[in-house]
Amino acid sequence: MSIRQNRLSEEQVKQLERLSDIWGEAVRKKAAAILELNRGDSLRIVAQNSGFKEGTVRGWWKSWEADGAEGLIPKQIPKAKAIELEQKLKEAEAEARAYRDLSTVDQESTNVPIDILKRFQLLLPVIDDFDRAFENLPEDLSENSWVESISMIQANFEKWLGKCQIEAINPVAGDCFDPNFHQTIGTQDSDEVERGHITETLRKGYRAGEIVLRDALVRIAR
Amino acid sequence: MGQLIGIDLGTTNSVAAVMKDGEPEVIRLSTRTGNLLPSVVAINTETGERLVGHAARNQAVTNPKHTIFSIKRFMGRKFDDEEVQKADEETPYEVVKADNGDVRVKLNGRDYSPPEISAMVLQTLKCSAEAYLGETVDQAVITVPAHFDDAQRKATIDAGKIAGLEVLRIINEPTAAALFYGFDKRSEGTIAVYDMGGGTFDISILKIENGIFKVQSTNGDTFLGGDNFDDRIVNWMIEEFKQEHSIDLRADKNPEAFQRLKEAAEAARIELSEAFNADINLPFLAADASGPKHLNMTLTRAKLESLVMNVADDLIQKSIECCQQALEDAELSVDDIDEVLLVGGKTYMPAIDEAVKNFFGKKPIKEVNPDEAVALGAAIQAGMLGGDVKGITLVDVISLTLSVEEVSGKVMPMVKRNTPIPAKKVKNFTTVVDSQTEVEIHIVQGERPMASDNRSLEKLILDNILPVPRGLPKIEVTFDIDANGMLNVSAKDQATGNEQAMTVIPDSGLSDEEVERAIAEAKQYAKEDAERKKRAEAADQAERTVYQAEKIIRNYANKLSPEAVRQTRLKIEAARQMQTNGDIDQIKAATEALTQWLQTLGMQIYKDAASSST
Repeated sequence: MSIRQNRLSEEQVKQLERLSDIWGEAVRKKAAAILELNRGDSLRIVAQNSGFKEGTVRGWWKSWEADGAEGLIPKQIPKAKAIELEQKLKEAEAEARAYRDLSTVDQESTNVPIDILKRFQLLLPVIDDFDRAFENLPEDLSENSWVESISMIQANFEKWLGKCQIEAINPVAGDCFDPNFHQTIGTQDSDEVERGHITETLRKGYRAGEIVLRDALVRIAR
Repeated sequence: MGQLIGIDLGTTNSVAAVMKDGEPEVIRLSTRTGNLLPSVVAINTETGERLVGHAARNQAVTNPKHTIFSIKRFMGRKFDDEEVQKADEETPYEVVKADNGDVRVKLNGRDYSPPEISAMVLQTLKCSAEAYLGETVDQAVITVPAHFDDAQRKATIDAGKIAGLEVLRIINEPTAAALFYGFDKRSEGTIAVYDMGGGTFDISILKIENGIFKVQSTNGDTFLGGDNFDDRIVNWMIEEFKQEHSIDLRADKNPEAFQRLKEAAEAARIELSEAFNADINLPFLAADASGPKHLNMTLTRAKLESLVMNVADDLIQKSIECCQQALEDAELSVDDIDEVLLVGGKTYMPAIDEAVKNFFGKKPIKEVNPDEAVALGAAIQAGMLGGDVKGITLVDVISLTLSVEEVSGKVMPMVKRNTPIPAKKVKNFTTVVDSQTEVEIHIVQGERPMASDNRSLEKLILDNILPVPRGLPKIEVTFDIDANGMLNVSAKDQATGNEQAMTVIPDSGLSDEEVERAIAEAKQYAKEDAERKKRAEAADQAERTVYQAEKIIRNYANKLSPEAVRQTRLKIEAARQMQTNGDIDQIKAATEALTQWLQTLGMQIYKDAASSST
């Protein structure tokens, strides 16, 4: 098998990174293995990391080459997954409806009263701590089921924020610096990022519609 | 006629308020949860875009030379003033001397007067108020520190004019806070208002009786403020953390951690004004090879006192001296004070509570929001002037003595400090040599015995005097101090009964022409700014739609036909192109096309799902 480093397009990398949003842990492992191979890690190391045999990992790569994302997902959709998918499709429909509303309704309106938003602001440091905790997760705990359940609590928290119309401001490297939503706390040299654009987000910001609860803390390229 | 609002034009933050249904209400900023607009102005040197408020503050670290903050310290000041020189040391932007000796600040290669910069903040507040109220706002009451002199008040009025606001009244900040407190609590009696801001301190003593708010005296210090308190706490945390973990958390080494320390320091200080201990927990503050490091400390009142001892002792001692002087001027003793009101962003500090309590012999009141009380008071004053608030009268005082310079160089007080305003004082002048045809009157403001040690306001030259023997002409000069605490002078030749020709040479400030020019520029800019804002809104809408489109491609990668994905991408690309380069209409059209397409797509996905499940 010939696996050349960085042969995947940026788009394919993004697609792989997000596959697990829909398909969960099993597909996440496959996608992660493909990405590691793409980065140039040896088949042996990747297999070791994933906990599967080299042959299995090679099979994943072949499936990916042959069918793309389709090749990585289970052929038989479990009933629970089918229901979840149905739900997601309904959400898509709701989103589509939301665009219609967005184009006619004043964007500044948010149903959440300002006093409640102020209380949410007090929660933001706790949400940050969750993020930091997982950023600093020791490797040997990554598969730990207790840790996974805490991760689910975090996910539920984020979902709840979404229901309250609060979304994260989380720019990625290369995004334009917008002082209406981002606060810069330093500059750094960068070969990849255009001068004045964001190189990294140090702390996520949050907004409810047009109302900024907190600016994202960023660094920009000099 | 448009609406009338009250504005607290602060050194660090500014707030606007309005009377609504008989009650004062703070005007909310449409894009923030708080009501404070940072008094910061900046120019993006690459795009030429002007930024005001949060946006200006947010880019200050990386654009220090073109970000103006604390402009209030330069309002109505001379470049050579000691205070200006002191403030200049702390500002990364360039401060220069104008031809008339006033202060100018450089912004993107152009010199701006302090009123022009303040006007940008006022203009933003005006726009927020108009959006909030749904009607034009063209008149305002603006507050100033009690110790602001004539030139500083005039500069504030000019700032209002440039921003398109007719300034109906200038009132003192502590007076405004007392007005709000008295109005809100329907309180009566003698109250002291202790106002500790980040950089300035004011004390005012007022009597409230039958709806009449009469200021008895006022005192203060321009360079006394609590800005250093939080720095001390942050430094302590940095040192402790370094000792324990050998990791440096200073701003240049670890900016995110430093930001968290600053926020935690302020929260702990405020907590300590009620509690005896404040726990500071900052998990995952930093990391080294051995893993993540957390900060877990307890700040006690005793520790806080020891940290700020040098700063606080000095500062609190000075503020208490001002209180003492204010009491003496009002001819009152501490026993005459019924209530002490704490306002200003830095009053939450146990040592201040304690010192105020010890001096006045009673626990200070902290019931009003220290950040908003001044603006709310200004709104009440606006309501009084507009006829919405009845049954209240405000009698303020002049905070600095107005004098004329004698031949010896000493001052001759004309209107002493703490004289209720409006006030009028008449004095006769004559010639000192035979056939003298003009007399020069130099007016100064301040409490020092020598004229040169006080603030020079203006020189009046009374000319066209008949060439007669000395002492014969009698020229009656009237010093008229209006309700804003500002001086107007007129002269009359007693011998002839004619109004005396008089030339006023203002020692500082903008000329009428300069103000007119600035007004025209501000109007032009407001127009351009509105266009820019509309474009930014359209671009933001485009970005959100693009984000949703990408999300759909991501989430339903395997449910969309390659052609559908290709079409979506094309429309995303078109929206992106327009977002960067297009005009408002082009952005809107591209966004609308994408929105329509996504609706079709969404419906298709849903239909496919429905048919495959049957």
